Amino acid sequence: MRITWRTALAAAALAAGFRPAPAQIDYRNLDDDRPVLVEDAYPLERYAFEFLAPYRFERDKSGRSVHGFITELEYGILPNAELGVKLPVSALRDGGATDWGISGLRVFGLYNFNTESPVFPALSLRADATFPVGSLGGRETHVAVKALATRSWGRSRVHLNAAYGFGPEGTASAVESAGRWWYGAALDHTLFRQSTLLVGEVYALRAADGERVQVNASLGLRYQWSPYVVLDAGISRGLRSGLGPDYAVTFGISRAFAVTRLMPRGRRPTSADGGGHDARHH
Amino acid sequence: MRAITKPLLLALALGPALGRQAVGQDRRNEQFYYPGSFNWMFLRNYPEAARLFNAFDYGHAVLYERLYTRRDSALAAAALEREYRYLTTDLLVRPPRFAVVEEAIEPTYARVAWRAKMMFDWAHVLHRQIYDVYADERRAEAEKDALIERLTDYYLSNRRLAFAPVAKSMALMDEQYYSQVFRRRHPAFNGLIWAYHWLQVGLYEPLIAGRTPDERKAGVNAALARFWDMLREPPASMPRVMPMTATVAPLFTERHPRAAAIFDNLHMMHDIISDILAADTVPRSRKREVIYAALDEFQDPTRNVMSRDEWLMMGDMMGGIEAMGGPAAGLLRPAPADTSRAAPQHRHEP
Repeated sequence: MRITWRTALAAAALAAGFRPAPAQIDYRNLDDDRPVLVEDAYPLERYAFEFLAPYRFERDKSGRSVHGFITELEYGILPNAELGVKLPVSALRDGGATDWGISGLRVFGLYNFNTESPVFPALSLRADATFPVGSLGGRETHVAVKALATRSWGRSRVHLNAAYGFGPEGTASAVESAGRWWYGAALDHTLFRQSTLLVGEVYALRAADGERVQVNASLGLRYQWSPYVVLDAGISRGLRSGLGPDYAVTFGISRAFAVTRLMPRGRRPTSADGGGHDARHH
Repeated sequence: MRAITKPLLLALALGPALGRQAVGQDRRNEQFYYPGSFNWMFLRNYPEAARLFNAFDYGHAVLYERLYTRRDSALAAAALEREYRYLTTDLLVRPPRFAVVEEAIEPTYARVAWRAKMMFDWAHVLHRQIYDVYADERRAEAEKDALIERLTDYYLSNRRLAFAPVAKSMALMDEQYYSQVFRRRHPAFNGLIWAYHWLQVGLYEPLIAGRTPDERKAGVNAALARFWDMLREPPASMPRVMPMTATVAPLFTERHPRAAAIFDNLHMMHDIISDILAADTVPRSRKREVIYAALDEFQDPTRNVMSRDEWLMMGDMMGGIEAMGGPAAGLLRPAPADTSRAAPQHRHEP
């Protein structure tokens, strides 16, 4: 019997009591790191869950390499707001030795103020807290805040992100470290007949106070593989000599779903609603 | 460091202010669909029909974008003529595998009338989930009916986006100062939209009337063939009036009158927005305001409502089933041998 990704995911979802729900245009929801660092300013839909299982490999210009499996769960907990949790597991290879371990625990929330209008872009704020969980999770708790904006032109959109990290500096987590600050811009383009999003970005990042600023660029795509599964892939490279990734590649799979018990039940109309007819006439 | 601190602090300080500014704007307000194993059964069992609806999404979206962005009526007519050709010779023939991101097709319109876009999306979700329920061969008829009522409850629980589940007066569509401009100015495109709406409600009939999976499949194929027939000689071969759910889908209306009324209200609102966008009597600066006033009306179940009898008789008063595109059930016959004029080959995107 051949077991595919699709059947494995479906089995996992059913085992967990989840029922799949339609989410056939998720490929346009640009999550952070999926596949580029910059994300769009829109949260997950209310009541939606999204499970993400990406892999990332990065080799920096000093020869150190990191494999990361960054599992993530997001939930549209309120109108225009989402909560999420990430638990990266990574393998750090440096000087011939390899260390495996959990690389910190991150929880985050994103709140969207408005959708695009003729005047304003879509605007959101996001806050992340990273805790030193696991052998590769660093030693300090960090908090970061991020401002996000999205503006569209035809089938293309521009996204601007700017983030600042608070907290003591010390040993950072092996992957998904917050850094001191970063800002960047991404441009994406929708191929609606192929259900594919192409995206490119440039961002500047200071990992810690006193360090030189990296300038990195990434290219990627998101592809709707099935009605509720999106595949993504991306590549990154540092643009400044001796800084940032020599190269990094990432692949990911994400699945949207909902839990019936968490959905509102609604109500039948009553006579107070008025109107000429409803189901009770039959 | 300072270079980033200042802008960030400014952004944090401005955040609440922008939030207040945004009060006068639309919130995004996206909500997930009702989950269940019935989802995607229509795509699985009736892919030709399910994918066609993805192309319909594009047709609806591009219509509003062109009407709003082409201020000159001659330019709008030329743009819609191109889009009509693209739709009928390409996109409907090879429809996308998945739903079209309408925001990418109508970005300008969506910025102006986000609430309208979301209300249409929310009603289209109900449309599609009901097809999914009917296409789920594991469920008994009574179970399907109960599930459709539950889906309608869920639809209505989103009060920001739900149309009223009672039939609103046709005067709201046909007797306003902007009414009927679009259909007079662009009869072929208007006929295409009405043909969409005929199929969207008409497909329920063979799914209900069919006693076996084979009968249901044959009935759906016959309805699809009838849809393609409508595109043969536009606009003469198209519906002459807006297809009413109670007339085109009487079996469905009998079982689910709330959903049927929601779909009539949705389709009326489609026509109303086309008229508002096309009408020179509605200044561009007031189009959003007039659209939103119509949305308020169509969410209110207490005003300008038809009685049940009026609603059921409306089809006859408008010219009967033939004026609306003909019956959607009882079409069991082989698809026409030559559908080449409108649809040389019905293929799917690879």
